[in-house]
Amino acid sequence: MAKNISRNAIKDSKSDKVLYFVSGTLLLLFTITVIYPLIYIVSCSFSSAHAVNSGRVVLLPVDFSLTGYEAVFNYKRVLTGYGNTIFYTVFGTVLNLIITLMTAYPLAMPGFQFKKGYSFLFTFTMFFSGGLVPAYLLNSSLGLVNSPWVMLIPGMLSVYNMIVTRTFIQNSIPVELLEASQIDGCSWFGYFFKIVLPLSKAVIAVITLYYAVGHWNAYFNAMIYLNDRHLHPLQLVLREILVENSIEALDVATEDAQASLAELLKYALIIVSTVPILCVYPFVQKYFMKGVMIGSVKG
Amino acid sequence: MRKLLAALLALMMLAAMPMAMADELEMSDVPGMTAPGVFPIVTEPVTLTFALVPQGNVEDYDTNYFTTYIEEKTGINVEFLLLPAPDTAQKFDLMVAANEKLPDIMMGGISDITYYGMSGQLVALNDYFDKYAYYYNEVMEKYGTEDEKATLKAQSYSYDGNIYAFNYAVPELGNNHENMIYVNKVWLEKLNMKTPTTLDELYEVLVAFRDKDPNGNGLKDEIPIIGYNSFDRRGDVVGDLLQSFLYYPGGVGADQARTIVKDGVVSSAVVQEEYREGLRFVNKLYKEGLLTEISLTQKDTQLKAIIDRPASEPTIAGVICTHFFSGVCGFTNCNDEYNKVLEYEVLAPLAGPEGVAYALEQGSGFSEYKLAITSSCEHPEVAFRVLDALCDPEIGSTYRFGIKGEHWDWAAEGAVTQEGQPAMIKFLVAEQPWHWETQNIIWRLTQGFMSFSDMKQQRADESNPYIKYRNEEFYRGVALRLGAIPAERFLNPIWNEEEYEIATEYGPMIRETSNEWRTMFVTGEKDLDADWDEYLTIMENLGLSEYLEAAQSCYTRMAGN
Amino acid sequence: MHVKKHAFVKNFKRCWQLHLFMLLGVAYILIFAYYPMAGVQIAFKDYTPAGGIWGSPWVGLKHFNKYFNSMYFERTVFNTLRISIYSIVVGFPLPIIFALMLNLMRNQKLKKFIQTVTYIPHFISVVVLVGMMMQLFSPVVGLYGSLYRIFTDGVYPPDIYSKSHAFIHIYVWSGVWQELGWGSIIYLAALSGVSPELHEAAMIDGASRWKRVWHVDLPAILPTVAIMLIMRSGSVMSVGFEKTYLMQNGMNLSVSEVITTYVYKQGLGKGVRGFSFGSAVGLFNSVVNFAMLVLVNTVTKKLSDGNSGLF
Repeated sequence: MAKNISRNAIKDSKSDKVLYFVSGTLLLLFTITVIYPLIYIVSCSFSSAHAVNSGRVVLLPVDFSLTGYEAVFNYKRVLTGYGNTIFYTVFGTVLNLIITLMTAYPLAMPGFQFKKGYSFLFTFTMFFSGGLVPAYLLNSSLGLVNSPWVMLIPGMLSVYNMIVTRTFIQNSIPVELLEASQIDGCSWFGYFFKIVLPLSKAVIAVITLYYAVGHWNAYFNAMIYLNDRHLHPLQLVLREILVENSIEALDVATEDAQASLAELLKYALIIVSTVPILCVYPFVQKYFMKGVMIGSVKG
Repeated sequence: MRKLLAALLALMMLAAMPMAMADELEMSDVPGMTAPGVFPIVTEPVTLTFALVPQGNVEDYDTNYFTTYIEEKTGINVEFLLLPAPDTAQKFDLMVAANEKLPDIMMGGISDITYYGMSGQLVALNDYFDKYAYYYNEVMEKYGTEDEKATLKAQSYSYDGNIYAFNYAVPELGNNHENMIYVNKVWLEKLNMKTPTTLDELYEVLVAFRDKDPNGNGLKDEIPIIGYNSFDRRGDVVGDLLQSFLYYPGGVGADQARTIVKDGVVSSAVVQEEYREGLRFVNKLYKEGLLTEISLTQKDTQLKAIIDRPASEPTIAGVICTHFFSGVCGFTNCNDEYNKVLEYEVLAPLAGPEGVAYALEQGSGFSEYKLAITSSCEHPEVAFRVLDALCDPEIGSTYRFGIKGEHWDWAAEGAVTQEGQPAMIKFLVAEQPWHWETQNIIWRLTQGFMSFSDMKQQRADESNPYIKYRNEEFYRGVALRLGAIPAERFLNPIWNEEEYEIATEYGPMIRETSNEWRTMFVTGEKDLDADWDEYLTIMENLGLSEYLEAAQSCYTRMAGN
Repeated sequence: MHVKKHAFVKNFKRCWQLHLFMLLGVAYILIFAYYPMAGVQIAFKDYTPAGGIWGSPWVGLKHFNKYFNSMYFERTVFNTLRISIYSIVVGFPLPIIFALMLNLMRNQKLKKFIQTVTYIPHFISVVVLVGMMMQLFSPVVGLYGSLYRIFTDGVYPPDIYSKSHAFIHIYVWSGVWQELGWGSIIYLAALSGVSPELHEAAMIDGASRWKRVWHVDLPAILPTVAIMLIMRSGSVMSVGFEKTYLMQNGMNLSVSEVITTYVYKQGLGKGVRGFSFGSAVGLFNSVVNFAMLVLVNTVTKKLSDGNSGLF
C-alpha cells in the first residue's frame, strides 16, 4: 500500500510539474503582451505631442513633458467631473446591488412559483427595446431631464448581472442548507439575510465591480439628458475635451496645435480616467480570489 | 407756498425723466423693443436661452466675457442650454419628440432646418428681415463680392420660399482649398529636375524619386507620392490626380454622386470615360510602386508622423497630398528641430493628357452657419435683433476674436495682410483666445459671425520663419488654383421634398460603392476593361439614374433663380 | 379545477415573501423596459417628429424590405456573422482556460499581480486601442516597420491593413487580448467557491493536478460557463459600430462592412427621418439574436439536467 502511493506520488509529480510549467509560462507570456502596451500608453502620456505623433515613442517616454496632464487638469471641470462620478458610482452601485440581489434571490430558489415566467419576462428585455426616442420620452415625462437621478435610475437593474448573480446563488449554495434552514423554521427573508448573502460574497464582489465600472465609464445618459455642465460625470467631461479638441476649426489658420494636442491628450486622459478605478480593484479582488465556502456545509 | 410749488415741480420733472430718457431711444412697433440698429435692444429685461455645443477651451459660459458684453450691450439676459457632442442634432430631435420647451435660439444642432421650419418648430424669418434687419443689411452693402452676397442670399431660403434660419457667411478662401499637392524641391534640385506642371512630368519625377535615392542615404526608403485614406478633402491622392482628367467634386458642398454639370445637364463624375482614364493613370502608378498601399489605408495622423519628422531623420516623402496647416496631417511643430516644411513647395494644378487642369474648390458651406429661432421663443423679434447685432463688425469681431484693444483692433488706414490684401482688422496678440488652452473671453463657436472675403485680418507679427514660410506657401498655392474650376458646378444643393427623399435614399450607397470600386480599380483588384461594365451596372442598380434626375431638377431650379 | 386553484393558492402562500422580493425588479422592468417597448412600432412606420411615435403613418414592412433587398444585405449579414462567430469560438473559451490556469498558480502574489495587470486592457477605449494598433503596425513609423527594415536593409514591409484577409484576425484577436483578463473574473469567482475538501478527496484518491482540473475545477464552473455561453450567443448579430468603423479603410470594405456601419452610413444626412430604418434593422437583429439565444438555451437544457437554462 505505501509503496503504491509513493510510486503514484512520483508519477503525479512529473505530469504535475509539466502542467504547472506550461501554464505558468503561457500566463507570463500573455502578461508580457499586456504589459508592453500599458507601458507604451503611460510613456506616451509623458511624452511630447510630437514624439507621440511621429511614432518615436517605443518603450520609454521621449521628450519628457507633462503637457498632456497639464492640459487635462487645466480644465476645472475635470475635478467636478471626478466628484460627480464618484457620487454616481457609489450611490448607483448601492442601488444596483439592492435591486439585483432582491431579484436574483427568488429566481435562484428551487420550486419558486412562476420562476420560468419571471425569467422570461426579464430576459426578453435584453433583446427588445424601443430605442432612444421612447426612452427619452419616458425619462422626460418622469422629470429626469437635467436631474442627477437620470444617472441612477434608468439602468438600475442590469438583467445580465442579475442572471449571473442568480446562477451563482443557485449553484454555489447547496440545497441542503435551504432544507436545513426551513426545518429550523427560517423564513425566506431570514434565509436571505442569514445564509444567502454571507455566502455570496464572491458574486457580490463581481457584480459590484461590473456595476461600478459601468457607472465609472458612463457618459451616454449624461450626454443626452444633463444640460448643466456641473452635473457632468468625468467620462463626459473628458470626451468633450477630446472631441472638441479634434473638431477642425473653421478657418485654415486655426487648425494648428489644436488637433495634435488631442492626440497627446488621448493618453493622458486614459491614465486620468482609469487609475482611480484601478485603485479600487484590489479591495474587491480578494473576495473572488480566495475560497469562501470553507466550513459552510458542516456548520 | 412757492417752496412747495418748486418742490412739486422738481418732483414732476424727476418723475418725467425716465420717460424722457426712454423717449430718446427710438422704439419699434414691438413694446419694449427699440428700433432696428439701436442699442440696447430692450428697455425691459428679456431672457433668451441660447443652445450651443460647449467648446473645449471655454471655462464657463455663464461668466464668459462675451456673455457679459452682449448682455450689457443689448439689455437681454442670457441663459444657456448645452448640447451634446457628437450627435448634437439628436438632442433637438428628442426635445421636439418629447414636446419639451425648446431653447429660444439654436446655435447649430438642427438636423434638418427646412423640415423643422415647415413643421412649425422654427420661426419663419422673412418678415423679420424686412422689418428689423439692420447690421445684416449694412454688412451686405459694404463687404463681400457680388457672388458671395448672392450665394449667401440664395442659401438662406428653403425651397418653400421661407427663411427658417439666420444665415452667416464665412468664406475663408483657405478652407476651400485644403487639399493641395506639394513636391520636395530639395530633391528636385538634387536630381536636376524642374517643378512638374503636367501629369507626365509628375510621373517622371515620381520614378526618379523612387529610383535615384534623392535623400542620399543609400536606402530605398523614399515614398514617391503619399496621402492617406481619404475620399475627398485633403489626403486623397487619387482624387487630386483625377482633377487632371475631369473635375472630381468632393468635400464640403459636394453631393453624394459627385455630380458635374455641362451645358446645364448634370451627370456623375464617377461613371465618365475621363474618370476611367484617370484611374488608369493612377493604377499605373500603383503597379509601378510609385503609389503605395499606405496612402490607401493609413490615418491622417500617420501621414503627419511620416512627413513632419525631425530634421535629424531622413526625408522620405517626395510628393505629398495634404493640408499644410493641419494639426493632424500637416506641418505644425515648426521650429529648428522640425523644419522639413521648408523642403516642400506647392504645385499649380497639373495638366492631364488632354490639358485638363482643375483644382478642387470646396463649397463655402454657407448653410452650416445658421442660427435658428424656435417656436418656443416668446420674444422672437428681440431674438432676431440679437442675431442681427452679431453681424455688426465690432460686435462680431468681439464675438470671434476677443476684447477690442486687447486682442484685436481696427487695422490702420491702408494696412495690408501678409498676403498683400487690404486688411480690416489687425490682431494684437500672436495667438488669439480661440487657440488658447483655456479661456473665458469668447464663446468660440464656428457659427454666428459675418465674414466676407473683404473683411480680412492682418495677423500679428510672425517671428517664426517656418510658420511664415508655411503660410506663404499655402496662400501661394491658393492663388495658383483660383478659378481652376468649371464654369458650371453643382454645389450646396437645396433639395425640395421629393428630391431630398431620392437623394438621401440612394446617395449614401452610391457614394460608398463608387469609393470602394475606385480603390479596387486603383489596386487592380478590378480591371478597368473587363470589369467596367459590371461597375456601371451596379451603379445603375443603386439608383444612379433616379438620383441624377433629382439632381437635374434641383440644378435647373437653382440655376434659374 | 378546484384542485388547481387550491394548488396555486397554496403555492402562493408558500412563496409570497419571494414574490415580494421580486416586486421592485418587476416594477422597474415594466416601467423602464416594457413601457418604452411600444416604441418598437416605429420600425413599421415612417417616423416623423411631427407625428411622434403614435401619430406617424404605418408603412408595414417597407423598411424591412428595403433592407433585405439592398445590395449590401448579404454582405453585411455575412460579415457580421463571420466576425461574431469567430469572436465567440476564439474569445469564449480562452478566458475560461485562463482562469483555470491562473487558479493553478500556487504563488499567490504572482497570481494577484497577473490577474490585476491583465484586466487593465478592458479599460482602454476603442479609439485608443485602434490608434495604438495602427501606430505599432505602421510599415513606416511603427515598431513593425522599424524591426522589418533592420532585417531587410530599409525596404518597407507590406502594409497589414491593406490585406482584407488580415482584417478579421486583427479585429478578433485584439478583442481577445483586450477582454481576456476581464472576462476571466467571473470564472475565477466561480472557482473560488470550490470546496477545498473536494480537492483533498481527489488527491487522496491519487488524482494528479491535471485530473483535478478535469474532475473538480471544470465541473464547478460548468453552470457558469453554460449561462455565459447562452447569453453570449444572444449577441451574435451585434458587432459593434465604433471599432469596425475605425478600422475600415478603402481596401477592406468587402470584409469590414457590417450591419451597424451600414445602418450608420445609410442614416447620414437623413437625421430624424432615418430613425425608422435604423429601428427596423435593429428589430430584425434582435429577433435573430433572440432566436439564437432560445436555440442555445434549449440545447443546453437538453444536454444538462434541465436546470442549466436561462428560462
